[in-house]
Amino acid sequence: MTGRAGLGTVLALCLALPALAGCTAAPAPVAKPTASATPTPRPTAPDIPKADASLGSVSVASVVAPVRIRLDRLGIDMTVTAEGIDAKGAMALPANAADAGWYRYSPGLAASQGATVIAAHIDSWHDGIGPFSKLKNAAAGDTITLLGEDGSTVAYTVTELRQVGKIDAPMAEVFETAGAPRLTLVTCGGVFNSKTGHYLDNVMVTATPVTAAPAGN
Amino acid sequence: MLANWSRQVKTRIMAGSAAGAFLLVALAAPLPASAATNAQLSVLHGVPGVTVDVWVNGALTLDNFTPGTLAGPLSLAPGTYSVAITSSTATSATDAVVIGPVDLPLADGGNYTAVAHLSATGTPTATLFTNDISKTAAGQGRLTVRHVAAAPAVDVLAGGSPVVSGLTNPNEQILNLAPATVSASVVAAGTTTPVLLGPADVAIQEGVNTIVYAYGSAADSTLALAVQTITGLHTPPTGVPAGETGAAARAESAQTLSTIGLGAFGLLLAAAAVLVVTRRKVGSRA
Repeated sequence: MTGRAGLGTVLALCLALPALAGCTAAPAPVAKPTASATPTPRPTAPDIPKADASLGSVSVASVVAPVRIRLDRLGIDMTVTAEGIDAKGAMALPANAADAGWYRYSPGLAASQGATVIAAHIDSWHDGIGPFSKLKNAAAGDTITLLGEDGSTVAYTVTELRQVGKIDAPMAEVFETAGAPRLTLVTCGGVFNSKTGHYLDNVMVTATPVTAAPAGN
Repeated sequence: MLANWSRQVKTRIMAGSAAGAFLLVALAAPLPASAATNAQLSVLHGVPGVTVDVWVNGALTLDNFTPGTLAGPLSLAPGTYSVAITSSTATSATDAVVIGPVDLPLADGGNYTAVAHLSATGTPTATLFTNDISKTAAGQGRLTVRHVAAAPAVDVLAGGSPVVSGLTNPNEQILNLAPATVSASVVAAGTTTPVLLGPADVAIQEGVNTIVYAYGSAADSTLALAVQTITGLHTPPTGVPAGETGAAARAESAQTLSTIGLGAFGLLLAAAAVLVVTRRKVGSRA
């Protein structure tokens, strides 16, 4: 009988806890600004943001483009160029597998949020197999260094290596402009389909920034 | 003892599922009963020389609203709202009215800008524009140009050539284009000079709808540009095709084969040896 009573208590707690959680989750009432003590009955407007709409008011975030990438443990040291979209709506890449492309609409070095995307051919008709063929050997803890066009450097630590079928490759996530600042490296991998001339997978490395080192590295 | 134990288990399971069900309810509770998404309403003041108040459904919403200022966005449940624009000294929505009241129908999840402006002939009026918040194509930005000025039809020149032609008050034209900073000028339709407004640098950004308003009065020399940006319309590239020849895959499989190959060769040698031995045995018997 004591056992049943105990269960009853547990049950009651289980039922009560979500209700308590619901109570704490309820928004706290916001104190409205007190009306001034003037005799006029004029109402008070709510606090709605107002901003100067002149052309000069538009802030275009300055972007520091990466110009070089190094992953010393794998012997990767590549020039980085800014790339956009190709004719099929995919990310354009430098023709040479020896060079890497930074998606020019992704965040730059000093970005406070979103994924800085750098990709390179694993192999190309121009110069054969490229350094990003070694990305599949990246390991958590590896250091990646980006050199910016302004001479600044940012170091990143590899946190994840993924190989995903291209059909399932999460492009929205790879090119996400929000969320924690991070570096995403992309190349191809897996089986090569010689009929289509494409690899079946994408190999992706995610790294998070560790420091903002002074220029001249 | 056994019966008692099984009853305890049953009770536990029931308690667990009851708590689970309650949790689900608790999680679902904060969601509104209907799936309606609030509309977003921004308000632009484009009538030169007059500070106003804006009243929504009779309630003072924007106090001392000055020309060239953008307010909001207000997050409003879908529905029709009555908006009156009055002198900034008005004591109610019906006192010292400058514009309206006008009815603004706001749809579920819509994004709007209500603009207080002059008509082509110079009369204060208000126009509700629906902002294009559809996703921009990968690597593209959007430019919306709105004519809300007391002026005839205009063209917009970018780098000297018309990108918008014959735009009249209170209308808009929308361009989807590659991100860049565009040097834009507003001229009377069909002309290139004199320039009514600009040239001004307008930044077209990836995944952003940049809305530029020409407001004021040509006759009063109060023409001006106002700008509003709507972000978050980004679309990622469709993929990253980062291989062309398959050489890397062949190099890898060749490496793998050479390892396996040695083993296979060894096995073949062994098999051949067994075969020879067996044959010899058979031969010796014969």
